[in-house]
Amino acid sequence: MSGQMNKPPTRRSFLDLILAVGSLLTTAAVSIPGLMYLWPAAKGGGPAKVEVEGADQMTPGQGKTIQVGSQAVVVVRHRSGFKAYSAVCTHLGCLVTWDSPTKSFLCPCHAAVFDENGKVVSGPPPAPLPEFVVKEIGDKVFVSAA
Amino acid sequence: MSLLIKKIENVRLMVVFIARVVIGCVSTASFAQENKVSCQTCHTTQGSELGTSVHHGLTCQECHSGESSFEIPKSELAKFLARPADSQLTFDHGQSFLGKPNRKEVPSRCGTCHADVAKMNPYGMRTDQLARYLTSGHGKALVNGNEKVAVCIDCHGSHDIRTGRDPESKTYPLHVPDTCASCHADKDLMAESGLPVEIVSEYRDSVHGKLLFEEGDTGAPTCATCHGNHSAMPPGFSTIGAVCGQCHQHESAMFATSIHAGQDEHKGCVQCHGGGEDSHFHHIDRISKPPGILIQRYAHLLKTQSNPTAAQVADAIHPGPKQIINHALATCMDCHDDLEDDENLPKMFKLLDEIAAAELRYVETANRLEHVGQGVLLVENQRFLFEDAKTHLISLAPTQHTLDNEKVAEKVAALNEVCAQVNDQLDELEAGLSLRYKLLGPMWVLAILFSIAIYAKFKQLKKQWVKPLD
Amino acid sequence: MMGLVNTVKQFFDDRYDTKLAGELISKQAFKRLPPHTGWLHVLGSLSLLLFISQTITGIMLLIYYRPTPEAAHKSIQYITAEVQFGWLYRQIHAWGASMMIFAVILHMIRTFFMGAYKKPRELTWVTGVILFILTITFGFTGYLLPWNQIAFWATTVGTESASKVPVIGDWLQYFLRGGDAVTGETLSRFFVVHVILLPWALTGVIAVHLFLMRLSNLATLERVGEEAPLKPEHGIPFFPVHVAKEGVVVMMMLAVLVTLSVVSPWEIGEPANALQTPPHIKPEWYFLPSYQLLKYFEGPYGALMGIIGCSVPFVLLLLWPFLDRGKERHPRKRPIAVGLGLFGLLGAMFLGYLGHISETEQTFFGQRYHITLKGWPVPLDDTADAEPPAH
Repeated sequence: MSGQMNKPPTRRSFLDLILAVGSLLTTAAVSIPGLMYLWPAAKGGGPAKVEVEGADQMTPGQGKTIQVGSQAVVVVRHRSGFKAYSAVCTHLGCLVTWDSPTKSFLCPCHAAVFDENGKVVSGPPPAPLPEFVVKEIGDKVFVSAA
Repeated sequence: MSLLIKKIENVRLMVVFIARVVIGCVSTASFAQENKVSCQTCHTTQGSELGTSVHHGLTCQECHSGESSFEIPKSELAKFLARPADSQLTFDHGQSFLGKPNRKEVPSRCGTCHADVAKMNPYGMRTDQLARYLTSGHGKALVNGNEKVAVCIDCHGSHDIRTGRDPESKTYPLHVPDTCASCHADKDLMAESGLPVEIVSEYRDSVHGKLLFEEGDTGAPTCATCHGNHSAMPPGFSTIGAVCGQCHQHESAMFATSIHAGQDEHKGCVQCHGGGEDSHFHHIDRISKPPGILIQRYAHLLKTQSNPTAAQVADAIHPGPKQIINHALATCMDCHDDLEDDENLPKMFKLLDEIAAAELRYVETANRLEHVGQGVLLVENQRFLFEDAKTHLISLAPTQHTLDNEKVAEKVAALNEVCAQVNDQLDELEAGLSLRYKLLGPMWVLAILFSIAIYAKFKQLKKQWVKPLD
Repeated sequence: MMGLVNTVKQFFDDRYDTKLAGELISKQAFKRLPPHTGWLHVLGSLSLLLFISQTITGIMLLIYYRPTPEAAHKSIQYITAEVQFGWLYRQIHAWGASMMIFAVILHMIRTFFMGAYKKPRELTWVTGVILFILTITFGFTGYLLPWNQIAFWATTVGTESASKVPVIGDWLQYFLRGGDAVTGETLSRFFVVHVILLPWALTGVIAVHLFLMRLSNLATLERVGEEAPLKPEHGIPFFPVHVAKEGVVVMMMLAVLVTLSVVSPWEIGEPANALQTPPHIKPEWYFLPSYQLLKYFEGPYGALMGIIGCSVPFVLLLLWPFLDRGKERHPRKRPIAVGLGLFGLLGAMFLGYLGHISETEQTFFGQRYHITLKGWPVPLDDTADAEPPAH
């Protein structure tokens, strides 16, 4: 307003340049990490593992279906410890359930039966149920893909 | 007809019953009034002991026979109760009284019930104790006339017998070593039989003894676990492996494939684990330590020693190989006596070195995982991965019993690989953390420069916009 | 390009009195502040800037945070470990909270000692005290959200003292916790208060506070009623001059936040466990004075007296402009008010320090002391403690 003319233009424009660059840098420094933060985090590093909730309440012979990553998995407690098998029937992909009285996995779609080790007992499935890795750490039980 | 007979019979039984009750009442009443006494009137200690024992439902007569009560005038009784210890005065317990059994008779006396299937069935008890006892060292010696050997009452007590589950029992796991020691640590007694007296004290210092006494683990093996209880006898050397293998299945199976298995000169498990030459093989101990203890020792060393040397580290976490070399090597040398040319010795040293290195790598990685995890980095996935290393380390212990360098190397390689993976991932995490620190400097330089520029602008603007105060 | 701008301008000109709007905005933007406006006057803006930072980082954290007992701690872990720069935003939010409370306190100290609360600005001060209380409540509710052990137990202890309030205490505690104990219900409550109620409440009160501040402009050190009128040509225009100054503050604030986040990060801690109390539960630094003060009230009416004792300072703060009606603003001419202020401030700092060191061991002048619950130092026998028995 009052005395805009009494500064040499070169020095002023230099300062303004610094301020412009600085503002740009600051904005970038604040917004780029922000955008990266918003980008869905890629699942990386170790294997996808899932803790079996309430594993300590399962009695031997009991089974439980849980989700590991995007897969349905049946965790069964045997006398000797925990075992986990894919719940996806190898025939047409229906989900099998654990039948504790007969100690077998039953598929509701085509009456397939797998034994307690995931081997085909009867029915159309071409292959046994894939086994998952079970680790007991302290009193917690974790299941992960093989 | 038969119905009538049955009714008459019922009436008869009823009359008999009532009569018995009446007589019983009268006789009890008169017992109180007159001078009738029971066994406990004199034998108070035994009576009260029996009352708290597992046999509290039994009467004296079931073991000692004789009458259940005696009729003595009060004045007579006082004489017996007041008699001095050396008195010649004897009490007539009657014809059928068996008295205190002599030591030789004890097993058969107990056996009258405990070897009788019909009598023991209601209690769900086995009946082979007497038969087993007779096959034991104790039993055989007793039959041969040595009455100083242990009979039933020496281990179980007499009137104060309790079950093995009772913490006050002489046969409760925590008390078994003491019970055995009452004879087997007795110098004079053992000298007569030509047996060593050190075995129980050796046991106390052994891994099993420490488990029992220091950690109070009643599941830990006591004397009876290996020697049997009623069939007590030292296991023959050929069966030691079988005895230990009842619990240590993997180790015993692996050892069975090793070159030493079945060799007459080799004493099996106790050759290396028995505590060395100068012991009586009861100082049974570990050679390698379980992972948890290794980690503890390493953490303790790092706490006390800021910069430990390799020797100190080896000293702290590998007591095992040293123990072999110090104690057992002397025994090895009985056969492997040629230090220069015996090619088996270098192989064994190599095996031990590899195991020691694997253990060190394990504890180093575990320690790092513990400390990296305490800050801001999350190492859940790495911990999960590291569980595999623990599995490998634990399985390394049985594997080394094969004395097979290749098999051990295989396990060690698997362990190393997991450790390397974990370490790589931790490196990566830590690199990210240190990058943060490194970027702080440049950030401050830029921030300060930029602030100075803004401040200069502020001064400039102020000059432009504001008329200074006079 | 210019055509488009003109079209838009025309669109608004046709519908609104844009000239008036422009005047209103430029009047506020170029408003002249008193010539003495110095660096101490940026503390209020700093508080506001931190609030904006908290809002932005808070919204970002909300994208990944899940307010249930099962998922809360895991989601914080996820933010820290998996999300890119998640650690940075979490740390800036956590440090920003502490810094915001610190900035508000500094701002209040400045206002108090410069007598800026005096007529006609009493209500600006009162709204300021309300902002202070809201900010502390922000800290208290946000502290629970990571659902870790320290947070869980600090909240348990903190809400426990609510039961000491007379008559309605038990009811109040039940209401705060959403039940008898700190559970998922408490988490939901605190979450809603922290992310919905408080942000809007704070925004509203800030608006009033700023409005009042603008109405009566910044205070000078002149006596009440004897202020010389501000000559516009001597005043400092808010934009662009004062704003430039605050640009420096923004840069420094960001740099300090990032540095604290890297150098002294807040740990995630163990997940909350209702069955295990960790040792030495202590509240955040801004609650330490009250925490320590409460310990000295014992006996049947102790709890009640404690609550009153802790409320008195806040009530005094709220009423202060109406209690102190002196005309002087300059601190040297107000010995009683300044003395009371200093006493209160040093007292709070001393109590806070005692709270910080209570139940620990400290060394003063080469002697180890155990500091009791109430802050008394008990000398420790050095010889017995220094060397563990040799073996």
